[in-house]
Amino acid sequence: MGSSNVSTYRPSSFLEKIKYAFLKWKDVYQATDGLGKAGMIINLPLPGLGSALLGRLEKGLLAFLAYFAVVFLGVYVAIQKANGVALNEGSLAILYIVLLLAVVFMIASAFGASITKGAERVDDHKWHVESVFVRKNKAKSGFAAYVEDFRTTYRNTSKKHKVLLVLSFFVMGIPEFFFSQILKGLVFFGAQIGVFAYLIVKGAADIGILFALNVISSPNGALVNGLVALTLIAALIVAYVFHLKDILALVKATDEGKRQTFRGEMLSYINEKFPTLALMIPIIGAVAFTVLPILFMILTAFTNYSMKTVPGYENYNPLFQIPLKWTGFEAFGRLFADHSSLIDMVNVFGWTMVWATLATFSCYFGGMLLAMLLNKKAVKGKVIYRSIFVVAMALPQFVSLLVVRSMFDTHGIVNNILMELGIITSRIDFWQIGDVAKVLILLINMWVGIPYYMLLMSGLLLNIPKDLYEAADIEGASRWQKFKSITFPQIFYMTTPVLITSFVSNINNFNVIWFLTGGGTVSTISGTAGDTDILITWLYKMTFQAGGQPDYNLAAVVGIIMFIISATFSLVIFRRSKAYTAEEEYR
Amino acid sequence: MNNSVAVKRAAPNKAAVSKKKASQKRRRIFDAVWSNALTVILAILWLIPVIYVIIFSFSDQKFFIIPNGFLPTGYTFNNYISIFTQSDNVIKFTDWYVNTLILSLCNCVLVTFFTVITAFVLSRFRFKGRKFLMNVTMILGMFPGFMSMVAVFLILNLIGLIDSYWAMLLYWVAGAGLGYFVTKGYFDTISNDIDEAAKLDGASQARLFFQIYIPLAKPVIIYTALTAFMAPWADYILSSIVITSSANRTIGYGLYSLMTADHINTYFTRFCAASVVVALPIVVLYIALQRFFVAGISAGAVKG
Repeated sequence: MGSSNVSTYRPSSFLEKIKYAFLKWKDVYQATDGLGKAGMIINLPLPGLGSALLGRLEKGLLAFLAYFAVVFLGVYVAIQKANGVALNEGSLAILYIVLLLAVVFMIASAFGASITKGAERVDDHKWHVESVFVRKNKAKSGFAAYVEDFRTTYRNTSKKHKVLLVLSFFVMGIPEFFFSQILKGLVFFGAQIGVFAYLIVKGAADIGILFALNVISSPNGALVNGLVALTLIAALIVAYVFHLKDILALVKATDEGKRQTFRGEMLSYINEKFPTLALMIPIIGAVAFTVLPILFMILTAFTNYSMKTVPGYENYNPLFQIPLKWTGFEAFGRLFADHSSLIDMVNVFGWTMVWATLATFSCYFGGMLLAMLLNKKAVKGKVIYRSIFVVAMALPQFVSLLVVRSMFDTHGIVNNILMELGIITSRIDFWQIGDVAKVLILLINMWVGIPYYMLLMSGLLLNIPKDLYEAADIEGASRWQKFKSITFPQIFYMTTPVLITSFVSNINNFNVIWFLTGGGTVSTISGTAGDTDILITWLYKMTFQAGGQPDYNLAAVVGIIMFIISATFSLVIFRRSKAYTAEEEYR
Repeated sequence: MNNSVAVKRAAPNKAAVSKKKASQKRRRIFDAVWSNALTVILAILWLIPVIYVIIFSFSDQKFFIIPNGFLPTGYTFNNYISIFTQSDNVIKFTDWYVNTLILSLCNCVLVTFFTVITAFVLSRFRFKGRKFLMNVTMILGMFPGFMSMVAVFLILNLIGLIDSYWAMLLYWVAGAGLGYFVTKGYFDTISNDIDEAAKLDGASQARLFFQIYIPLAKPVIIYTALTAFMAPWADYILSSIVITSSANRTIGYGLYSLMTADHINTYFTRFCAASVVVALPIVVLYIALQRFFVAGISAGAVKG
C-alpha cells in the first residue's frame, strides 16, 4: 500500500480481509451506476439474484438456487420446531449449520460478485474495478442524465416552456397539446384519467385488500384484483417516465429549432422507433396474460388459497369456509411436513425427469434415423412415405392419443388379438399397470413425436456439406464411422437448442400423459399422485380436480420449486448454446 | 453414402476394381432390400391407428368392443350423417367445428402477425433491453402454463369474457409475442446486406419488413401460420377452463368429453367419424405445405 503505482493488494490478516471486503464493496458501490447499485443491494438479502439480473446469469442463478435451498431447509426445520416436534441435538445442529451457511453465502456472494479476481487498488483509494456491477458503458444512467439535461434546458428556455416543463410533472397530456401533439396528448391524458378513475372507484381498495388480505366476501378475485391495480400503476409509471423524457426532448428540439414535423415524428415510428411500435401490443399482452398470472401463482403459494377460501364453498359447508389470508411459508413447510405429499413429489419428480429425458432422446434419435433412412438413394417413393409420417404429425393429438388409448383398452383391439392368439388368458388393463403404462406411453410418444424430428432432420441432412462424405469415402470410412464423426456431430451441433426446448416442453407435456392414462392408478401409500403422473398432470389434478378439495397453494409451491429447477437448468445450457452466443454468425 | 465417387478416385488395378465392384453391388442390393423393407414396416406401424379410426368411423355399432374378432360387424355412413345432423346436449359437433374453425382462422392471422413482427424486431434491431427481453421471455416460457390458468380465468372474468371463445383468441394473441423463437432463428439467417441496400434506397423499416423480409421468410411464416392454425384444434386445457357451456366448446375438449366413461359406450364410433372429418383438411394442408415446413423448421429451429 501507499506506493504510487497500481498494485495488487493482498490482505494479510483475517481481520484485514474482512475490513477490505467491506471497503471493496463500498468502492464498487460508488463506482457503479444506478442499476448496478440496485443489483448490489438486491444481492445483500438475496445472494446471486442481483448479479443474475445484471447479466451474470449462470453463476448468479446457481448461487441463488443454493441459497434458496439452504434457507428453505432452515425454515423447514424451524417450522417443525414451531409445530412442537421435538428437536434433538442433531437437528438443532443442522439448523445452526444451515443458518451459518446462509450467512456465509450472503457475504460471499455480496463481496465475491462485486469484484472479480485481480482487482487492483489504485492510489486514490478507489478500486480499479472489473465487476459485473460496473457496466462497461459508463455513460450517466437514465435518471442522472435526465436531471442534468432538465437543469440545463430549463435554465435556457423561454418562460412558456418553463411553465410547460413544470406542468409536465403534474399532468400528462396537457403539455403535449401545447406542442400541438393532439393524438399523443389525448392518449396520455386519457390513460392517466382512466387509471386514476379506476384506482379511485375500485383499485385502491383492491390494493388495500391485497395487503391486508383477511377476506371472506369475495376472496376469489382479491389477489387478481390487487395485482391488476398494481400492474396498472406500474404501467402508468412507465408512461409517466416516457412522457417526461418526451416533453424535455420536445422543448429542447423546439429551442434549437430542430423540431420534427408531425409527419416526421410519425415516420420515426416506422423507422428507428419501429421496435417501440411493433413490440407494444405483444408486451402488453404478455404482461396481462402471462406475467400477471404467474405473479398470481407465486402469491398463492404464500396464502391459504384452497377450495375452502373460494366463494360458493359455504353452500356445501358454511362452517368451514375460511377467509383468504397470507400464511407466509406455511405451504412450503406443509409440503415437507406432510409425508405423503413429499413422497409424491419425489416420485413424480423422478418419473418426470425419466420421462422427459427418454421422451426427448427417443424421438430425437428416432427422427434422426428415420430421416437418414428416408434419405437413402435406395428407398423409392420418398414423397409418399414422408407424407404418411406427416399424417401422424398432422392428426390432432387428442385424436391419435384417445384412439390409441381405446386400442389398448381392456376390451380393445390389442387385448382381442392377444386373446385370439392365446398369448394371454385374461384381459390386461394396460393403462393401470404402472410400468407397462410407462413403456406404452414412451412408445406412443415416439409415434407422435418422431415425424416432427424426421422433418426437421431431413432438412438438416441436406445442409451437411457433401465433400465431408466424399473425403470420408476416400479414406475408406465405414458407414458407422461416417455417422459417428460426420452426421451426428454436425446435426447435434445444430440442434442443441431444439433439444433443450423439447426437453422443457416434455417436462410440461400434459396431453400425452393426460389423454392416455389420466395419471394412472393412485397408489394407496401416497396421497394424490398416480403412478404415471408427471408434475404437470399432478398439479392439474391438485388444482382442478382433487375431489372438491383443490390445494391451490400446495400446487403453487410445487410449481415454483419445479420452475426454479427447470428454468435454471435450461437457461444455463441455453446461454452456452450456439443460438445464443453466435447470434450474428450468419450475417 | 456415395460409393461410386470413392471407386472412381481410387482405381488401382482392374482385377481388384471389378472384385470390389461385385461385392459392392451385392452390398448395395442387400442395403436396398433391408432399407425398403424397414421403411414399409415403419410406414405400416404409423398407419395402423389412422386406419383403425377410419374403419371404426364406418362401423354400424356404437362402441369399439367387438365380441369376437377385431373388425366391426357391418359398415355404414350413419356416423358421418349423424354427427352433422344430430345435436343433443352431449354432442354438438357442428357447433364445435365452426367455433374451432373461426378461432383457428383468426388465430392464424393474428398470432402469425404478432409472432413474426416480434421475431423481426428482435432479430433485426439492436436496442436497449433487447437481451433482457429475450431472457425474460425464455424464463416465462418455462412456467407450467396452466398453473396460471386460475388467474387467467379470473382476469377474463374481470373483463366479462367467460364462456366465449373470443376469450381463447384473446389469450392466444396476447401470448403471441412469446413464441418468436423459431421465427427469429430464421430471420437471423437472412443476410444483412439486403437491408443495407434497401436503406440506401430510402425504404422505411416498416416497408423493409413488409416488402423484403416477409417474402424472404416465406417458409418460416408458413410454419408459424400452420402452428397457429393448429393451436385451437389441439387445445384442451384452456377450453376446459374458460368455456362453460357445451355449445361454445372447441373441438378438442368437445370430442374428449365423448370419450369419458359416461359417453364412450354410445359415442365411440361417432367420435371416430368426427375425428376423420376434423383431421382430413389438416392433413391435406400439412402434406401440401410440408416443403415449407421443412425449410422453416430446419433453418429456424437450428438458430432459434
